[in-house]
Amino acid sequence: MTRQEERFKWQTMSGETTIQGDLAVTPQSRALTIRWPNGGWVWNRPAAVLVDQGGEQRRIPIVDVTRIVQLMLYGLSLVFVLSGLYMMIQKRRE
Amino acid sequence: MNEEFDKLASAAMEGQERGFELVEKLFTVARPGAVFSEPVSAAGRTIITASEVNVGMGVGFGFGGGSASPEDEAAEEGEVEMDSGMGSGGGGGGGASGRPVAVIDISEDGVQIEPVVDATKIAIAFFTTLGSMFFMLTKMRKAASRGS
Repeated sequence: MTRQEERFKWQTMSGETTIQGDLAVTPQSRALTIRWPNGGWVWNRPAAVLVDQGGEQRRIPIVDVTRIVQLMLYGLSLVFVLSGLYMMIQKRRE
Repeated sequence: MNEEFDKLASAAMEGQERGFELVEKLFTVARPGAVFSEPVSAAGRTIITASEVNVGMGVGFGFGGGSASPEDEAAEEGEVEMDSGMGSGGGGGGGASGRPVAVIDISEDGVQIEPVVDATKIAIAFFTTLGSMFFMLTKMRKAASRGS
């Protein structure tokens, strides 16, 4: 493993499989790890669920609704501010 | 003097080791076990909660010592000992947060993932957006009235 890979790690890991009837469910998480001398930061979030039913495998992604709505709202705000600034600059030039 | 120095140095090293151990423990949060709860079964259903985890931490240590020569006359007379001092210090800080993202519901009907919506976070984002829009519109109106 290179030094860069040791400092930044973006990995998907599988948890313990839960069996219910003929269903085998394995949760998957995705973690971003950043290390620096004497410290670090870890962001771990659920990614998906692997479902095995009678030999047939399926992957169901876990969607973070709160994060998506937050990003959409902040994105909208950014677009609005940037377009407003652009319009004001254009008007001054005229 | 040397004994004191050694004691201080070993105490500082011990503290530093503990700090590094704590930082290493931080990285265990990257495992799936930190995100998914233990499955809970009842009435033919199994429930697993999935949460987002965010942890950050940093520690720092310092150690030093030094000596200063006594005044010339005093040194010649041999009455004054060398002035010396030493010290060590350390500190650290960090933060952690967690938020439920979804609930995994396993039953005979299949697997269902129910999202957990954080209304407070969405409300904060909504009012921030509304505020920035209002601010920008006011600025634009002022600029337009100046231009006309």
